Amino acid sequence: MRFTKAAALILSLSIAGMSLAACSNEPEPVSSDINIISTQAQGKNTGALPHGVVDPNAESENFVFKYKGCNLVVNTVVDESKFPDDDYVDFETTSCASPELTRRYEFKNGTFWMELYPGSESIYTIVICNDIVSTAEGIYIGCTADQVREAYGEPAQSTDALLLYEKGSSELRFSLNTNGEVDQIFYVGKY
Amino acid sequence: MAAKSGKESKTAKRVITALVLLVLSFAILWFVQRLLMPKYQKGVIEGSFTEEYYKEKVPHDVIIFGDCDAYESYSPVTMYEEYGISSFIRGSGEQYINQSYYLLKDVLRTETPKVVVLSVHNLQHDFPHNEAYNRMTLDGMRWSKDKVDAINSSMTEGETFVSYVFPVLRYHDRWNKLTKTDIEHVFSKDITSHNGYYMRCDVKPIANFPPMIPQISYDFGDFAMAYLDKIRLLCDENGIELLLVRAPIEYGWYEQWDKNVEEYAEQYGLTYINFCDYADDIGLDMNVDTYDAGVHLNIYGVEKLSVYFGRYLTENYDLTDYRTVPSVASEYEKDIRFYNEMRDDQLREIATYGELRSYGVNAIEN
Repeated sequence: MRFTKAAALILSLSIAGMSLAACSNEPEPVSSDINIISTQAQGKNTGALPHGVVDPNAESENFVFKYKGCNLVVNTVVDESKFPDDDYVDFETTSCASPELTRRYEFKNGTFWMELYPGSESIYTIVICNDIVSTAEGIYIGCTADQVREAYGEPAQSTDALLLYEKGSSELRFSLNTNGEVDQIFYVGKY
Repeated sequence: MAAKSGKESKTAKRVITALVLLVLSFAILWFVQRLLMPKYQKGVIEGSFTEEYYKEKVPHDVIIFGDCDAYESYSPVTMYEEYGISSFIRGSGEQYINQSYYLLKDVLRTETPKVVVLSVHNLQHDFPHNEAYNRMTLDGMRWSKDKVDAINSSMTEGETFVSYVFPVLRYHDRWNKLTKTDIEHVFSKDITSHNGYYMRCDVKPIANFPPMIPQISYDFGDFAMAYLDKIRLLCDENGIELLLVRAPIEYGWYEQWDKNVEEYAEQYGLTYINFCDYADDIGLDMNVDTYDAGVHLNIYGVEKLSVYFGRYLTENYDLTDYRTVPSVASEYEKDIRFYNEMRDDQLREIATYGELRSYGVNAIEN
């Protein structure tokens, strides 16, 4: 009888211990073996990308890329139905040790790109690669660093090869070639 | 006298009962913990790689460390078949360089390889920043001071050391996500890699990718560089040749980072091989040699690279041809059989379904 009582007590304690663990206030757990984000994520070398960022103020506070009347803004949810034409291809790639896919859109044969956060529908980057399109402020591939400064003012950070502007939860990065001309333009979501 | 004896007998019974109950409680806790921990047997299998090393029965002349660039680029089985090289990849998903260091120390507890190959891809991350990846590398590590140090140097905000000691504290909420695999592999896990190599036989031709986002600074972080120093010094102390490599994957890497590694290698008299520079010599055709549009190599690319890399290793280091060592050769024969079986199985699935169903993302159980 005593054995039964003691056994019941010990087993109850075990279960209580596990229940206590289950009720702890730890942050969201690994959640299984699959809740993992991209190891190959581009950009920052200080951290992997989050699962997606949606900034409710992004439309009004971030840099906006306008394409044929369509506003594309980082840290907002992508809406393919608003794309002005179907001159784009999209494809998804996997990430290391992760079930999550990263979707990318290539518009007008590489004129510009849009990449979403891994496993999400929110826009992480927009990259302009040729002078067919320009920023809303009129800067396009081939502009000089001075023209960029004229349009946007002094950058938050800069090097000989990069001018970086910040606004809301977005960054605008102008990559410069050795002649000091813009050769690529990046809208990047901050998180 | 009889009364005293009876009292002693009762005390003994109580002690035995208490001990039995204690053992029973620990057994239950241990079982629950085993049940709840991710098994990494299907789908995302990369969390199994760390512990698979401990099942090895042969010595290794070459051990490769790093993240996916390490475990998805080289085939130890191919290097054995071609050159008799005995090697192992101690890679894991987003293995941070501090973890590479402690895994190397862990290796040195049982063997001293002639060559340590470090895939420099993980230099891009300064500090560990993702618990899930930490878990995939560290949970499977055998307990030692090195594991303790690896955990302490890796924990992200919110992580606790005790949850590595008792993983049930971390995985307790998986009780309602348990799958058939969790039940099947409570007590034992299958080998999922081929001496650490993650095999993929599907083909997805290389795609265009947008340019990399330009950075204000391309310097590697101080923390990461400090651990590169530690790896170099540890190799020096143990008479091990350190070789730095980068897989022939253009995606996700800056030219400036190559320059950093080249300068480091030059400063310390190390060799750095950027296999991107030798893609033609290797014979890579990224229309057929990648399974995910150019982010990783598939088996065809891996075997080409392994033939090339194995030749380099045999020509530049004094490695043993283990094909002539019967005890090792017999183990590798088993490895080759397993390798061929998995390759054939994958090819059969691809022929049947047009894609892999039991491997990779499609195999994840919900």
